[in-house]
Amino acid sequence: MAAVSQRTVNTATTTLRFSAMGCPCAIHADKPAAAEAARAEVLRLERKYSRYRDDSVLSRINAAAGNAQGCVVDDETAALLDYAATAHAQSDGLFDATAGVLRQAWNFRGDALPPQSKIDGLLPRIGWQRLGWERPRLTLPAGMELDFGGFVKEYAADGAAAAARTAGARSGLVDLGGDLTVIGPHADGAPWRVGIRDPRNAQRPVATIALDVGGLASSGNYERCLRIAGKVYGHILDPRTGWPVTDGFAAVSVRADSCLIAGTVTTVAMLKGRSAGSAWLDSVGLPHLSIAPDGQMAGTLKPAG
Amino acid sequence: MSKPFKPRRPGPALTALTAAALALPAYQRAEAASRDEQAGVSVRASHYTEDALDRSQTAGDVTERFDITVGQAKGRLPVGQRFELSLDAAYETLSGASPWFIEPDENGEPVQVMSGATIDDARTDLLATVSRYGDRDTVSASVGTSREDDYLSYNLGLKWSRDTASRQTTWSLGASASDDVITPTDSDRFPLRPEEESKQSYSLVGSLSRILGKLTTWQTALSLRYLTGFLSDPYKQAFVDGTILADSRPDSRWQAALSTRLRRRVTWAQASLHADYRYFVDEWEVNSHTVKLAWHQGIGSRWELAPSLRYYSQSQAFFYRPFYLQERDDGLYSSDYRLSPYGALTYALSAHYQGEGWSLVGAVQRYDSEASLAIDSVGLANPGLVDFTLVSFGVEWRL
Repeated sequence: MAAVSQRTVNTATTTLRFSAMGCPCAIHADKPAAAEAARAEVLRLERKYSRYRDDSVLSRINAAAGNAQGCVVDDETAALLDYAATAHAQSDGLFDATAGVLRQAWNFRGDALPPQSKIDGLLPRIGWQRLGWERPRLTLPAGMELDFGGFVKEYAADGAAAAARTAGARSGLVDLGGDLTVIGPHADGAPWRVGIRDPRNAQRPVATIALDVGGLASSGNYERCLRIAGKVYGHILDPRTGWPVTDGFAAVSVRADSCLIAGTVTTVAMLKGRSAGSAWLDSVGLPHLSIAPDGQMAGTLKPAG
Repeated sequence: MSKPFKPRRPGPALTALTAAALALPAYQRAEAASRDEQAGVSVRASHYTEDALDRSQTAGDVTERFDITVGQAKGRLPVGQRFELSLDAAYETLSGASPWFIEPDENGEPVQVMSGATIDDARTDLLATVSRYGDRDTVSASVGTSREDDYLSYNLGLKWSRDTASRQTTWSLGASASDDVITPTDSDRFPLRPEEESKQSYSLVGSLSRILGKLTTWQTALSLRYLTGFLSDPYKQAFVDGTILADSRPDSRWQAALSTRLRRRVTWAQASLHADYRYFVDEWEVNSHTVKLAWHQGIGSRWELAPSLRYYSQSQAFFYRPFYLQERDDGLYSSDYRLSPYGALTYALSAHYQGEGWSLVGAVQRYDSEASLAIDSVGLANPGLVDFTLVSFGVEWRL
């Protein structure tokens, strides 16, 4: 995914490194207090939408699955649910916040494919269209669960950048495991230069992008995958079949006004596979860079000189 | 330089996602990002000391000049989504003597006569500003007052600035006006002093700031100012053919100034170079050049040290003389060193420390003016030219 090249981080910038949302995070900001405010925002969203904490809003929603009354959610969660519904509709059902249950079948740290029967058992528990969402009340059928993992990290990058600006930062960058949102360009107006990782060689960037505003999200199939009988099964799972996408991109990066939108467009492109994914990227109209498994690059995201 | 993102063909999917995202709190907050969202308070204390005059160029015993102590406080408060209120206050106490008039000695050399008694005065300045931050436009309005024992001024200002869509360029336009009333002290004892006079000033400033590439920013500004009313100094006099007359200047003055500033980041040195130039010209034939160079050196992530050097040179007002051997037809007289031809050098060093939520600034400045530093050669140097030392210290807190 994307990483900030060190030489562009000037010394007038504070860098805060920490771990959150299951990935290494870095916040670069021209004011130490602003970097702290950004980290606090990331940690707030992690607490609120963690699958691993019983007291999170997400756990409360999932605990109410099967309850006909459902549960009432706060405004921020409601807006995220509206966003997830929009992404589901715009992606013809590929972007699905209920697909997390597929984790029960797939173990990308293991060495075996799941039996089809197990996947078949999970598919009826997937489908955004099956849940009842009438702001502010959400009803989740029994056996279903929500997972905000597909967008909360990107939203947190945007939220952290906004919090840093609120705390007075003019310049800086939020990097949550490669999901990036600019707080502001360098003090002299120079953009941040970020490298996009080569899917075949994690240490080497394939391109450097100049980012002075908005967000950049990247997704790659190289991070977690199963290699069985010479075939690669990536961790990007099609919610309709329960299987990894075949003939997909090795990696996609998208730049947008927000990291959230960049991330959604990236995820959908990965899910659609190369042919439909290219058409999707073109139809959305955002600057993007896609990398095929053979390393061939395509797209409109211009590398910095 | 990358261009700001503009989808070439925003598809319906992007439009729908954008609309859904905009309802999220993170994006609503980011709207007025140019405003400092934190309240802040800063205080600053300065001490300004003018050097005593050269005894050989002074008539009488008084050679001491002004000593000024200034306390300043500023508060800033964001209000609602888009507004900011700020209040600036300054209180200054002043004591010492000032140049009164210049007479020729037996060799025809100018000798400064100082105002005899020590002057003690205090000044209070207040300025309130309200600003509205839009997505690209910022509008501010301010109202202020300044008062001393013998002086009362009110001023109004309006400023509008606008960023281009790329945020690489900012235009601004400002206008201000002030109305001052002067009631000189002891006008009953000094018949040349008026009892009460007034003056008004109006100014207009346009500026353009641009980010030129990754390391360079550039700003240029043109300002015009018109002053009218009593523009003389009621406490100064002129030696005219053996008699002492009141300082008497034209009752209007047009001024124009063109300034340009360049800021260049020097990456390898963790520093930036600031280079400023200003050209000033006015209706009284005073024109001046100012060049300033400053080097802002970052030391670690919290310290900054900035040495600077400034050079100034001005020509004289058309009616200025150190003293007058004969009367002028237009009746204009002034021996004020500020209207004389001279040049000056300012050496300054400032240090800035950025803490967590607070910062400190300290500065020392030395100013030396000499007729010989002027670009043009000067026949008779004004003996009242000032040299001073300024020391200041300030703290800012973000609340």
